[in-house]
Amino acid sequence: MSFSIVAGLRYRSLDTAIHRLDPRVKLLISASFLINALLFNEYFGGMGTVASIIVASQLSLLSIAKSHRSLLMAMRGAIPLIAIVYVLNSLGGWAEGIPLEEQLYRATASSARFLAFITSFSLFFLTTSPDEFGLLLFKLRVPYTYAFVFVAAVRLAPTLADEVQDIIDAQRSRGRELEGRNPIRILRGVVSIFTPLLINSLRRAYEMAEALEVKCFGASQKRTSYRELRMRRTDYAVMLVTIASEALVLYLRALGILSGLP
Amino acid sequence: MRIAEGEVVAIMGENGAGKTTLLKHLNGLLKPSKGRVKVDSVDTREATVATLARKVGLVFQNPDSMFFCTSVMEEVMYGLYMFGYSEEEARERCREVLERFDLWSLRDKSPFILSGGEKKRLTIAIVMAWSPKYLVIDEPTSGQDREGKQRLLQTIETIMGEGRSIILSTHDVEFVADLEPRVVLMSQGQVVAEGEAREILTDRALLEKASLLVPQIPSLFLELNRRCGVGLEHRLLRVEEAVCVLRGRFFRGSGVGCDELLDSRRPQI
Repeated sequence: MSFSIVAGLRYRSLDTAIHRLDPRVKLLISASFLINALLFNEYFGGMGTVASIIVASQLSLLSIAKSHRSLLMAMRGAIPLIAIVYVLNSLGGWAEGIPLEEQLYRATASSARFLAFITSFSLFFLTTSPDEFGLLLFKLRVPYTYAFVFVAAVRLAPTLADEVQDIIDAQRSRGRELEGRNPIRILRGVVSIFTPLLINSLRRAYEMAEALEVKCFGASQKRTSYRELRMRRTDYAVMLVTIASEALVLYLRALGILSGLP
Repeated sequence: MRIAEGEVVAIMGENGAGKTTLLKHLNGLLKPSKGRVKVDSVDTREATVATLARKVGLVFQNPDSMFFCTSVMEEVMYGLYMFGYSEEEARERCREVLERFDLWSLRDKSPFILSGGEKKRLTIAIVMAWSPKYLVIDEPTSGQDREGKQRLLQTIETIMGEGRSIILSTHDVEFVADLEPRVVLMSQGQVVAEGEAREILTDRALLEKASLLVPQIPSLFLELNRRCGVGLEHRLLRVEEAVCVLRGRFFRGSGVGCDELLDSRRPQI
């Protein structure tokens, strides 16, 4: 069993043009992907087309960032969820009594949209370090304590994934059957992971709180920062291109140019 | 590499040598991408971990990674229920194993609040509860104080006496010197040497390949030979045995009980 969705969205420290972009610009690009995935919600209003373009754009940008394999891994991990969306949509269409071709089209478009939705922030997460994320939140005037909570949560996600793997390994080593093809048995096995994971997470949170206190967290109201975020010319240029592209998409939608498209 | 029934094998090497990776192949947690791992002629790629775990009990390096229940007793009972033991038999085995490892008084406590030594003993007790044919222990001495190590040594020696196969990974040369198992030396994912502890652990050049040091007593004998030219045989000995050898060599008389002590070790030396 793997947790490739989480593992696939894990930040990797690389030195590429995308990694060097200001996190505010990357946040804007990812937000633009998310808005478009949410906005195009009509089956014959470009839903499938836009969703496919979003996924393709992310793959292209992430190939520049040398991280496209991570996104593909996350997408592979999302296959069971996408399959559920596909089946539910097919059943919905069948209940409504629409023709089979349209049922299949609706299920495909919804699945593509779901994929675009869950991967929309992959560019941001794969290329932004937790520290940059913290600085970004601080710049967005989020109080430091809350910003730190977010950063700690993001930073702990891979640790949590490792912890899940440890629990799975420990249970399998003591006879818990988590392999094979019996979905009920596998589901029961997965449920049994949650209680120990919760206990371990609480324990880890307590240890982290102690470590923070040892490092004088909150000792001073006016804290300084080791690094400051500064926008460069390239950042401004990419930001302008993103805003212009989003404006164009919104304009096209307002004009109804994409209506009738799959 | 083959491990026979009833054999005790220590897999040694520096950090990152591949010891844990090798151990995880033994119960199928990892499957080989090249070559084969067979447990009693069953290919690990063709069996589930749960099936293999019945025969191969794996004790993790970090005890906390093994705990997921709310009490010591539940931790021990978990595997027994998974392997289909009845309530009565599971309780009986649980009590037996907890008493044996001196943990019965802690049965209702959370495993997470135990001391380092107690946690380590519990991890072995968890696995010993269903009496696996092969006991695999990853880094038994990590995080253990002197007393904890001594207790672990006694525990492992008792299990050795039962004729069970024990495979342990460690870079603690002193611990292995006391156990005297067959040693498999690893470095950078490769087996660099295999042989009896008395041969491997006294070969300084070989140990250096795996970033390990010669245990203290053979090291003392080697230094005495180098500096004083006394020609002592640098073999694996315990402190009291080394004292006897040195008394016999330098003070013309082996001391009380020394002959018996050294005689008892002679077949192994």
